[in-house]
Amino acid sequence: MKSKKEEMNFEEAISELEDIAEKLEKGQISLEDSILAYERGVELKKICTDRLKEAESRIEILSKAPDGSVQKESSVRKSKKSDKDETEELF
Amino acid sequence: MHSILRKITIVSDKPLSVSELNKKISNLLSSSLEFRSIWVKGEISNFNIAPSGHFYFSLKDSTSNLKCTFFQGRSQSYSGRPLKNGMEVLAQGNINVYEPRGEYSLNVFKVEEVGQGDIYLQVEKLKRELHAKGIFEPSRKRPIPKIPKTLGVATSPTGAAIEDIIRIATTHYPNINILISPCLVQGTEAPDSIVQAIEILNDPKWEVDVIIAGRGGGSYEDLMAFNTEKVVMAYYNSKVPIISAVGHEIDKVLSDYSADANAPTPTAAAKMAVPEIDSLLIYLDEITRRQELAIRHKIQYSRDRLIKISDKRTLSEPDQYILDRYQSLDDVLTRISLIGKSFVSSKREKLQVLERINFRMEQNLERKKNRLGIATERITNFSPLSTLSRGYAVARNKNKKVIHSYKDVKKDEPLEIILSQGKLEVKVIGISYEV
Repeated sequence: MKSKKEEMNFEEAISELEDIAEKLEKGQISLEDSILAYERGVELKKICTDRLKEAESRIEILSKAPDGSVQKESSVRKSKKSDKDETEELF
Repeated sequence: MHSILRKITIVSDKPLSVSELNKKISNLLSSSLEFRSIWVKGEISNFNIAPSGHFYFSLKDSTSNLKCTFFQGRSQSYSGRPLKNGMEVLAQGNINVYEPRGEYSLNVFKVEEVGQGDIYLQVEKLKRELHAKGIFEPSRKRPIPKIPKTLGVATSPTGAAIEDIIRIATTHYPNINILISPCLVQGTEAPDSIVQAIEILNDPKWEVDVIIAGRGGGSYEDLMAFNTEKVVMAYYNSKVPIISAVGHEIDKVLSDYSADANAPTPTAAAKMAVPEIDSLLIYLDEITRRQELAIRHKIQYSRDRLIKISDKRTLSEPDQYILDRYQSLDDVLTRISLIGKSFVSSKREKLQVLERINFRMEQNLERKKNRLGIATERITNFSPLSTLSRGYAVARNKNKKVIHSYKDVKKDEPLEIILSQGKLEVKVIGISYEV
């Protein structure tokens, strides 16, 4: 079972991280809350770096079904960071 | 027939010099209306501009060439697209013979682009109109998100453009998801196709964060779809931030102006759309550094405050502190009461004096009472009446003289005897000196 923090993606994590930095810099929260926030920040940084390392991108193409609706075709290519030097045919 | 031909031949028997011939040809061409103010259609090649500002080029078709000159004065009146090789034009001018070289050329005084001229002007007109409507207004442009999750691409599903975008985007930011909305990018059906592709990417269910819409390079005609009003407005109306990526060399297309951002190539657009992983790592470090600094300050600040407080006796000797507080409280109360006292004291003093007087008077009275009492008691004690009450009697002779001894009386003398109650008339019966 994944805990909520594990499900968090990079974009959400870095956004929360920015909020924490701002909160801490403003200095209007109590010492205790500051420490809690800082600890959360450390946690988030780890999430961010993990996400960047495990980077996986999906490349998908939309197509029109006969009934006129738009749907995704199954993934054309999944690229991992280590694959970046590969050049693949798209279709 | 034969003789006429002969005649002609004989007439032109005498050889001309080269100059003479060239002159003849020149005269012939410049005097003939057929070669004045003529329109010629052809493709520009070998175009160059001399330092003098004169344009020199050739017009050609599939088999032939014609040298042209377009002198500076005239060329300045030309208001179309900048002339360059490959352009199909209509040129109006006079045929001119340059005698020293025996060459003829078209001395151009007017040029129009074939077909395109019209289109070019139309595009310029549309540009002005849209600009006036505020479609290109910079202030309404949406910001490109810094860290998008999904990149939408409206372009041809084949070709270098999409390949470049995918490659650059995934290299710079391996986390990116790419969603391709394929469309036609040239031809008469292209504008509708492009509009639809952009609208599809705007559907919230795909969660697209940023769109790149465009194509690789091509001729002015090839890119024309991106100059149409409906495509320009599709970029303008896109709720998702959109980058126009049309490969062009000189001219921007109109969609470049109405998009939220524009890039000269699909590759450049991809770089604009996604963050670079290295920059992100640096940015992460930066945020962490900010946090560390902030928390350190906070702790230091709190510590300083704690030190300040603990320096005060309040915390190190709390009892003494409390005593001090009591002391000062007392001082205050004393001062208050002194103030109150001095106000009351004069009255008090008066009262005290009165009291003293009163006291003394009472004392006097008391003393007098006492004396009186004592005196009274004394008197009472020593009054003959009290003696008498004890049983003693007082004897007196007729002269009222008290009798103390036997010598004071004679036999048969009448005496008076005073008792505590009443008196007696008596006679002396016997006298003795013994008791």
